[in-house]
Amino acid sequence: MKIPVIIDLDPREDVSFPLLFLSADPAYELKAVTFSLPPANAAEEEERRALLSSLGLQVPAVCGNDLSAVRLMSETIRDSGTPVALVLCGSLHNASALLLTQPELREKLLCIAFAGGGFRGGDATTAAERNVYDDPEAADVVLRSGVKILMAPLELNAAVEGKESLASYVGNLCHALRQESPELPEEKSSPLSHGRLLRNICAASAVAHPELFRTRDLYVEIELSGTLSRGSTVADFKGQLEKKANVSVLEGLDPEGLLSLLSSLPTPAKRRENDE
Amino acid sequence: MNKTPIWLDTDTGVDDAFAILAALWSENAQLVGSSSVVGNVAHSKTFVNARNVLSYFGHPEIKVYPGAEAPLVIPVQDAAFIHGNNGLGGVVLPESTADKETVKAWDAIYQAARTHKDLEIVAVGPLTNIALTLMKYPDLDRYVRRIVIMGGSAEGGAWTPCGEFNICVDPHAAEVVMNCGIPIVMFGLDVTLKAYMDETDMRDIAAMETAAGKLFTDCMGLATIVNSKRIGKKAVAVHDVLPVLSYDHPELFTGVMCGLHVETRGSITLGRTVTDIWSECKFPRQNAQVILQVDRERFARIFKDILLRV
Repeated sequence: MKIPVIIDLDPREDVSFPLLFLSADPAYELKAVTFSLPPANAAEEEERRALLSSLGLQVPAVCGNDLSAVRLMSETIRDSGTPVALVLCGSLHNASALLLTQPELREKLLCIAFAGGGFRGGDATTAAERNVYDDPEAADVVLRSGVKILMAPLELNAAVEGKESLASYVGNLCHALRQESPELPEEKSSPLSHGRLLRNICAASAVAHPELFRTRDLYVEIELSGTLSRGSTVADFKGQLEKKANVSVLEGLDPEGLLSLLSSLPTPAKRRENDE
Repeated sequence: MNKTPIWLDTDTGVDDAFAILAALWSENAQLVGSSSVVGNVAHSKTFVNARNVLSYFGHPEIKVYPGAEAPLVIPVQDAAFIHGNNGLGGVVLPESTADKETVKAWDAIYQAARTHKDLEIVAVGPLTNIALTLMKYPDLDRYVRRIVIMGGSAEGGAWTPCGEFNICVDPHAAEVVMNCGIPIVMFGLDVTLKAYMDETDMRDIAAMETAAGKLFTDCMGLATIVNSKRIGKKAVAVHDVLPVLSYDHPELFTGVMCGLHVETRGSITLGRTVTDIWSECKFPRQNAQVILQVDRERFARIFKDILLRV
């Protein structure tokens, strides 16, 4: 049975590839698309709609300010016959707002998988990763919610970096998804975006393909104060706090397995061909 | 070759006792003075312990200057569950007969810095004394070449999930030290938990007939129980020895230059040593060398050789 999934995207990053993945993987049914930030202007709103159209996606989406992300999430979850997975590629703001305003929906969430956090250092500040740092209080709400959480932290990049460069591997992943689809936008290219793209795809794929990952259940807390550490994720690796684990942290990845999975997925062009 | 003059600040402390021993036997470092600080146990005990350990190892003439009895800001914490209520694992050493110094540590440190060219401060307890010296004598950076600390952790923690004891006891003092402009060398848990004596080493030490070997075996019981859980096998880490041993054996250690600061306002991260080693967001100054690796086998051999000498 397909896993119904809502994806919440960060418009500052490459959004096409997590979308391509979730729409192509037969393990998922993509039910709704939201963005963690509203569009800056009408042009940006139109850009989002055009992107979804170019990917051949015909799912409810919040591209502008006419509908709230939280409302679309709520309606999608309530209407779903089976628990829904939330995949978060940006800040955890929308998920937090959903959980705060409608806590009864926790029972209808299969899990929340987010790309974010890190334990050794950050990319927004020295200690904090961007998606959590953008709204630490939201991240705190999510981690304390009792919903099953999957976390793809910064350290996941290291699962690839030992074998080949991150840029090369992410390039191969994107090529595997794009194949024969020249109409798709070029992937954004920078060292930081490579890592974020990888973690986004990992967060998205871990829900239906846990066998590709080595996970560790840990108690993880968000630092909400701190001069240097606000927004950092702190894991109790040694169980010193004796608190129940609240997060399944993706610690390792099967890079060949993930590449193989993406290579096996039909591209939009292929799917259109099959539909015809 | 001239020896490097070092000032040793301790919260003696079972492993501090062997840092003192290593300093006394160093070929490249000259112990010119020492001071005591609150930490592992109350200052009244760390002061007496440092004096008695120096006397036990044959050097009562090395003065111990009394230092801080409390951290700068936060309440006192102790580690008596590792070091025993008396700080030496229950071992009672003969009382030193040296006169008790009354000059405060921060004044003595500054005086030593003015006296000895290129003094290096080796601090293996909380950094309260060093911070107080820096605050009272802002020109200390003109006279001290390096501050070498046992403390902190680039990754994870033991006292808290992300904090090490010495820094957690006085994070405000530690941040004063990180900002002082004097180059810092940090021997944190990343390396000190790798410098352990394993079961074989402990058997070798138990068989020693020296005063140092006997003291090690007698005082390390509680520390072994606690460390064994952290290390994952029966073993005891001798954290405080590493900074001192690095003067004679720098080749045992590898580290990286980085920016290093201490979290002084976090709730769960209070006392965390934040480094920019694994972050693209670098601190403005690369103020520290953080030691991350040690050749454990060689370290253990060298440490046991020192225990055989006294």
